[in-house]
Amino acid sequence: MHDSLIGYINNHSTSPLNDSEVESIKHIFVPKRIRKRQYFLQEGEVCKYFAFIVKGAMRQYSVDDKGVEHIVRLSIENWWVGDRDSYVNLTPSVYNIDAWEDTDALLVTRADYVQTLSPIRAIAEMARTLDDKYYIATQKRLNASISFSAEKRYAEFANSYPEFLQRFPQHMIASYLGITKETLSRIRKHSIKK
Amino acid sequence: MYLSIIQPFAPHIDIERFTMKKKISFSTQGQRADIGEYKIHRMLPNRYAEAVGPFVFLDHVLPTKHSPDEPLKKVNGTGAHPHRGITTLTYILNGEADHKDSRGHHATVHSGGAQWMKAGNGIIHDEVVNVDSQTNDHLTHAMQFWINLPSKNKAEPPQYLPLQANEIPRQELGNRGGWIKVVAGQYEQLASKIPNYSNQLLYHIHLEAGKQFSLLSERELEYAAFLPVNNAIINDAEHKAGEFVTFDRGEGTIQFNNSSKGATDIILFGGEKYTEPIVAQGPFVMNSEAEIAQAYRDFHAGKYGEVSYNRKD
Repeated sequence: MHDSLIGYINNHSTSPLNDSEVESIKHIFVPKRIRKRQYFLQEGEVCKYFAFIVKGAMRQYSVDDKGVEHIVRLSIENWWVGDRDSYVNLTPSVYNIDAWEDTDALLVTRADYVQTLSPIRAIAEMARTLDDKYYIATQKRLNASISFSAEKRYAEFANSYPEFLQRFPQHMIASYLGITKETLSRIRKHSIKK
Repeated sequence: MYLSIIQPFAPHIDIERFTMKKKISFSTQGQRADIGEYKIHRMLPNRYAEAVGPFVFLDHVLPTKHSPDEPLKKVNGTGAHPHRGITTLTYILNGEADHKDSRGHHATVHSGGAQWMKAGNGIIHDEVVNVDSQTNDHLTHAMQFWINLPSKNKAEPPQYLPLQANEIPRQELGNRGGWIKVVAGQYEQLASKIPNYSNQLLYHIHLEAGKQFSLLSERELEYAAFLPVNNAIINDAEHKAGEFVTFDRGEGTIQFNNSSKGATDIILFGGEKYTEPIVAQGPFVMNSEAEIAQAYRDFHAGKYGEVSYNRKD
């Protein structure tokens, strides 16, 4: 189960993990099965773990006063899941995270990350790369959400994450893009006709 | 960049004119770092300074006018978070701060007051700032400082001390210049009730229009000044409201002049340089990564206790 994580770390670094580092990663990351619709984190809780998805699909969302869900993140294999604000600052989370498919994940605590993982060169390099990627993706998403039309937002999403269209239902993708189900359905019909 | 003006304030021969003024090493406007509904500028740490004396953090909760029908914020758990290795000091310029913590402390501090919490070996607190029910200004405006603790004091149990405005020592400045309040540390005969774990100072200087205040710095101390409300002239250079400046290590005076038509407020703070390693992450300030890891572990193991929200007191 740890092999995909080890491969992922090595792919994100120019200095591959040595044997003892692999051993400590296997020791620190704890496997966890999360069933479909089971919570990994609920609003009001402090996020104790970050998760690396080995297999499955998860979503992170907030729920507004009217009970409407707003999806901030969708994740599948080789993605990380967790509320970083709550994980680092230990504040109660404003998000829910649950599994959309039966999911196998590897969990790590902040304490183990700080003490054991961050001194590992490959991990430090991976963390820098991911921070860059995550920052760029977040900027793009922010720009899209404040300046793009619904059509353009969907096209960019479909282009960047084609697999997500197969893995998540339309209402979740609509919520992720900040548009209504009806608008998404109209856009999809229109794009098929084209 | 800053308007340098000829000093019109001391036409008579003044000892200050023969003393070197400290140089300003940098000034910054801080970075926006809102937390929930609070509009916040993070002044410290910043890209130039990690700490000023034992002070490792300063958030400026910007002055905000609230409508009279705005619902009050409650201490209800949504803002609860731990601290360890520091003391936190919230100084309320306008508003009313409610505090509860996992060691059973609870207090409400009004405009002009402060609350001090020694996180020591770990505590969880929850704090809100509302408009002051005793004044009618509909304003909230505050500062939160984190003061680093020496290694041996990081291991001590938590403490809490609320201070209302009248419990903060204050002295009028000569020549109707305004006043100085000693929020932390000592100034002349005034001493704050807030415990000192190293030589530290936090003064609020209220300077009337056209007046001047100066202070001879101590060689071993680091100093910074912050302008929460209005502009002021600091060692001959005009600085704007919201600016934060630090001074170089050389000896000399720190001088504030108010050339505007109204009063201005200056926060002067600093202290003895912190010489142990500083490792800060999230809400913890410790001396090593291993101690940071332990701080996270202890939080999740429930060692900092829980805030009780049921008690009415």
